Amino acid sequence: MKRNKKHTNKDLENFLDYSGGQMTGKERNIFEKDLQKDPFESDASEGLSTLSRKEASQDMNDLSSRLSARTGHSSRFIFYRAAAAVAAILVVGTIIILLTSDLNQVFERVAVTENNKPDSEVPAMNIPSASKDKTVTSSELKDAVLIAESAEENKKQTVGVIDEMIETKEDTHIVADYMRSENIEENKAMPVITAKKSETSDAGEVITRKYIDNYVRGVVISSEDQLPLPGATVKIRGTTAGTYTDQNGNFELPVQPGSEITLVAEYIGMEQNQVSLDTADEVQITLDPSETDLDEVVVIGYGVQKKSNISGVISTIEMDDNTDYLLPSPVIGNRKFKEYIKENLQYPSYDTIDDRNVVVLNFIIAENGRPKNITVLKSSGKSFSEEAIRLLVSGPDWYPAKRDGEIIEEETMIRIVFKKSYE
Amino acid sequence: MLAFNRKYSSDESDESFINQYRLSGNLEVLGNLYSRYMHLVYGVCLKYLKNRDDAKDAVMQIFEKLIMEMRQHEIRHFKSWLYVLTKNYCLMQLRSQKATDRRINNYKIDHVTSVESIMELHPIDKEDAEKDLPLKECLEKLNDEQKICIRLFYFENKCYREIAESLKLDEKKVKSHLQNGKRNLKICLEKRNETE
Repeated sequence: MKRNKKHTNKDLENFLDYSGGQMTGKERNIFEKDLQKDPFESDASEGLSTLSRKEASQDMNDLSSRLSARTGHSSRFIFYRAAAAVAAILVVGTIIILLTSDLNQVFERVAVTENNKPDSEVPAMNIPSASKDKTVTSSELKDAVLIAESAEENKKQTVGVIDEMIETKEDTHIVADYMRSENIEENKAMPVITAKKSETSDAGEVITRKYIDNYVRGVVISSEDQLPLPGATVKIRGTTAGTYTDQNGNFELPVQPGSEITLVAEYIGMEQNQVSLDTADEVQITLDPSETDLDEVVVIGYGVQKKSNISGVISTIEMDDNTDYLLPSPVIGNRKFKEYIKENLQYPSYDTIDDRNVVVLNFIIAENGRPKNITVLKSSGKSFSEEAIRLLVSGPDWYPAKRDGEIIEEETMIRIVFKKSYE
Repeated sequence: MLAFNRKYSSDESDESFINQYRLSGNLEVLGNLYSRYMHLVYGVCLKYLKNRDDAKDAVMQIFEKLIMEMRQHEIRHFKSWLYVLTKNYCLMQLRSQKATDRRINNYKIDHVTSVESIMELHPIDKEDAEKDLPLKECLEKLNDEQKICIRLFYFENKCYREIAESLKLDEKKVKSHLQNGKRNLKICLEKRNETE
């Protein structure tokens, strides 16, 4: 039974002509534009392109007969009466098929205006003002207090420190976390600077301001959801100077005043992006997801969200620069934790057909080392957040945060990217 | 049969097949509808399962699923719906192959929900996109690679291969730039609409 072969085969022909290279550039473009409008045909085209013409028609014949066997041959329908009369010709069915001319029009082009996509309306998560949390290293910070004496000297030193960190980069996440722990110390220490500033003379203030002017600040966000990317690398092109974004996607880099620079931002699973700027100013760098590497879970970013940051109140706790502070971290280590996520993740595929889904969870590590007060900051869907929470809750213990050797309950953040793997 | 089928496949809408099937329960009607799209279903299965035999089995399994689902759901856009069904089936297959450590699934599997979202036509895929001013303005804001790929593809009607050659890029990269460019365009257009 070769029912409907004509239509099926002809459309199949189109795909095969395309993948077999039997179209001109112009025809290919028209075909590709159609594919752009229709993810079904686009996916199908990718699959069919792996077959030769012969294999494809064999397979379709095979499938047609399997389908006929399944649906039965009964010709109860009125439509089939005419068909019964020409049943004898079926043997040469394939030839006749070629004679029939109108081929297209079978697919209804889908043109839809009615729907509002809820996903795209995710309210942007209050992207925080970049200036609030400084992304500076702690050693730099020590110097910052001494700034009034030598701003120039200080700058060199800062660059040096960052160089070192970039060079020792082995695992982005580990370094990122390390950097972030520096940031935290800095966060706390910032008020010290502020306090100092108010006590110092006018001259001191001016220098401080000048010092700060020589920074480029900005935020790195993801183009798919406009949410900040914590732990993204930001480097100045052509130099070894660089930093990582904090949990709010903010970064800050020292620059030579008046010099023209290009910032290069990178994040795992995202396309690199570059932004040139001639003045040290606030800058927003948007990264697009990369289509090339598909892996089931690729990215886990940690970040710590200070309570003071959440409420927008600048903490005024006086603190020594050398405070012993430890972030919450998985007992088994970051690398192993990532492996745990990878191995135990069950991909919730039924909720969405997107290839890339992101969940960001915020939670507190309690004194007993277990996550609690888990809130979903961002999610592609209920089943994704549920899976992320399941992994976290049934996952390994954490070391709670410590300050001066004393355990404190601290908030932290995790970003899990679910990516489909076709391998 | 062939003479009839010619008329059958080009004139009859999917909806009319669905209605007929609803009334009669005749599997052959559903089979006819399915065979319109069978090569697409097969192509998608091939893409994900990467194996001809597995993909063929999947095509038949998806037909069984279709029979079940047709009883439970009101289907408005058959083709899009079939795509979601197909893709989900393949992903479930992949997932069950992968999950060596089978814990109890305590989350429910939801039914296909996002048919609508895949049907939305991107502004640049519409006719006369070239004359759309807001679109053009947003296009200017894209990064160079995305901008040039979109221009070449949509306005100068170059195919992926030609673009890849002229920009010395991989074809995959070209597709990626197009896709990202389109998404960024959409975000830009939505922002504009909000502010207006």
